[in-house]
Amino acid sequence: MTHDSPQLPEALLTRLRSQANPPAQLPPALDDAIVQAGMATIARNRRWRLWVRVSVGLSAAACLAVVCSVWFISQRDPGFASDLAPSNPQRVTIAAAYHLARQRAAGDTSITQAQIDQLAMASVRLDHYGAGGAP
Amino acid sequence: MDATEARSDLELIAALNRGDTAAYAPLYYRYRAWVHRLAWRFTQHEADAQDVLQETFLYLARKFPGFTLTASMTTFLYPVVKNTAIAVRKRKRREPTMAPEALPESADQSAADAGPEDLQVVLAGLNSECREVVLMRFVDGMALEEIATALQIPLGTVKSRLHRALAELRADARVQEYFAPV
Repeated sequence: MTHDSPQLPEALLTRLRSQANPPAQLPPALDDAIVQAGMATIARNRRWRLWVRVSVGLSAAACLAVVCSVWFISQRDPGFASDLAPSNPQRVTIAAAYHLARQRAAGDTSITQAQIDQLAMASVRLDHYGAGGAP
Repeated sequence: MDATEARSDLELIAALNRGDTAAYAPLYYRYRAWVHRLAWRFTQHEADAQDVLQETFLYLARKFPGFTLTASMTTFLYPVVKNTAIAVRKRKRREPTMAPEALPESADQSAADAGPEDLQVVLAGLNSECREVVLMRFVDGMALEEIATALQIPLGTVKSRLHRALAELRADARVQEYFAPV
């Protein structure tokens, strides 16, 4: 409390307070309704927050399980993680050679064996020199 | 009821944050009269005041769990009641079917209609900012620091408004008898 707060004379204060009171009393039924509504709101908020926490926890656990699985498999098969990379040029080249070979075997005469061999050689060069190609 | 409730506001709030919804009732009964009086002052209409009371306590309930009280409850509740009262009055003004006599009067208007001896008339003569501070201090019983926090103004401004208001009241012939030395 501030000590240098100015004061009103007691009689004026009493009159001021008496005039500030609302003319009607609150009905008890309204009190009960407000209390019940408030308690229900708090309980609902608590349940909602709990549900959000459980959902976030389960999502985090699922993400962790996927990461752990990938890590575990990559430990057993070192090529697994790099094979997952969509832009691995060696795998793309081999897949293209394989695709052309199948097309040719299916009767597509526009594809020559030389084209397939070129792609196969390209994959070998990529294996030796990386994506930069031959020196 | 709150009569037997010995727990402080902070203890009740902590209980509500833990999920003990029964702690809401004592908190409500502790501040319902204060909120109702304030709501009635802002609306000058009993039904509107009851609407404001409901909305204020529902606003409070929606804060749980996770509510942290950084000042006193009255400091927290004051702007809620004030803004809710303004919203309720605006909403009522937009309702075209309402009978004119049911429309809420402003505090100034009701004061102007009162008899000349009425204290409300004297208060209505004060600047609205000064009148608000006087009512918060002497009717709502709020400390100067609480008023400053609730109105988001510096403490010095609260003090100067209060001094100015009291000086005007002392100078007013209609209430001068109260200030006369005994």
